[in-house]
Amino acid sequence: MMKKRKSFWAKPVLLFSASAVLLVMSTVGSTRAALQYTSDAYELQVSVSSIGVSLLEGEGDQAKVVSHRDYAGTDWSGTGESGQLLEGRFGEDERLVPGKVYDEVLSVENSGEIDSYVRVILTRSWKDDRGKDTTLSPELIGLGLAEDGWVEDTRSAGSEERIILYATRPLAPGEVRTFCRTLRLDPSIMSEVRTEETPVSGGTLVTTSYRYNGYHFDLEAEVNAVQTHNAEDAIRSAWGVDVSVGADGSLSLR
Amino acid sequence: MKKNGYKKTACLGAAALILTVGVSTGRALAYFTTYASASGGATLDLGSTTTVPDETFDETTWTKHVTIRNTGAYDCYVRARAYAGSSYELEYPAADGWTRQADGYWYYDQILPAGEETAELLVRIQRPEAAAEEFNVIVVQEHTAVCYREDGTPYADWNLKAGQTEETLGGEG
Repeated sequence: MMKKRKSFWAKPVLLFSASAVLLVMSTVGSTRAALQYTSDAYELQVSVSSIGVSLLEGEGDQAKVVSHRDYAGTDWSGTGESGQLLEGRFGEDERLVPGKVYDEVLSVENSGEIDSYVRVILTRSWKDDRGKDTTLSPELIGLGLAEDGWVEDTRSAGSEERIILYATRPLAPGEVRTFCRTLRLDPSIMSEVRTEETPVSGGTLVTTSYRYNGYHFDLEAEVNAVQTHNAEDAIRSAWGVDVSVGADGSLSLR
Repeated sequence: MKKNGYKKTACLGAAALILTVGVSTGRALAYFTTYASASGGATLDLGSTTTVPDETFDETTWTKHVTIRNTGAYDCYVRARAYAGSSYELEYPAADGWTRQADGYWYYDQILPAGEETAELLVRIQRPEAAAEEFNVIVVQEHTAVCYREDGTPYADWNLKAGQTEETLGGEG
């Protein structure tokens, strides 16, 4: 009886041990290779493809990098976050007026060393002291989008808040592509009013207050870049969308 | 019994293989990606400006002198008109800077800046020969915010009128 139980457990333990040894060996193999590269006797220059992307605000020489994240050989340069848009644009000198068209040139730059496909996610919303107010229409925050070189993904956007654009061609290192040119608050904002009547001497005073008054409009821009090698799989893996990449490198949504 | 033992061995062997392959597959699916983001905005300060009419009545000529002052903090457009009973005809003898349109309103030609006042709009009341009953002349003035077209040209959209007052002049004929 004892002999039977021993033989039943011996094989699984043996097999698990074998698989553990296999796993450990696979790690050891990599480590050994790395040691060979850095040995004193032989020097080997390993060239790692460097990807990078920057978000620019402004046009031409006036354009400034508001956020970037580039791989610099051994580590990342830039956090890719915390960039500031529209900084100091509206203040005491200039009041934000609905209907008026303001320049808001936003571009993406390939700040890496390899060709990259890029996409842009623009998010618009209204906020007050209590946070985001989803009852107000983000569509009234109008953006003049560049038409050439981009395709809009209306299926994945999911809501009126988001606009998703895909570059139809990869960006070469150092190439800049503009995706937004202007900002305009829809003047119909001023038709959303509340009216109050107050008796005054000899008549009635009718005062109208605007629903959107005091609200803060928020614009967020995120740019993503991915390698061009094995692009369809890379984009599906990184961004979760199915695209077709032609022989000439042109990208289209499926 | 021995047959079952082989099955277990085969299953465990296959599981070990899948584990090993799985570890390698994870490395193969790594792609070069990066991102950058920024955000910003501005507070919409529409306010609500206020316009106040200033009216004086010249009893010798039976003329009302109407001006409108923008007492708010925002520029606006203004318009005004007067109403009276059918026995009392109204005339507008001088209206520099004002233009009458088909709807009967007098429109001030310029944007009325915050703190500024319009030119005078004169409203003369034609006194009938046999006027005996009481009468009222009502002056209505309205203002609306300055809107902008896409090219930056300002315009008034009176469907969006922001405020109005009615001033009544009462008297005996």
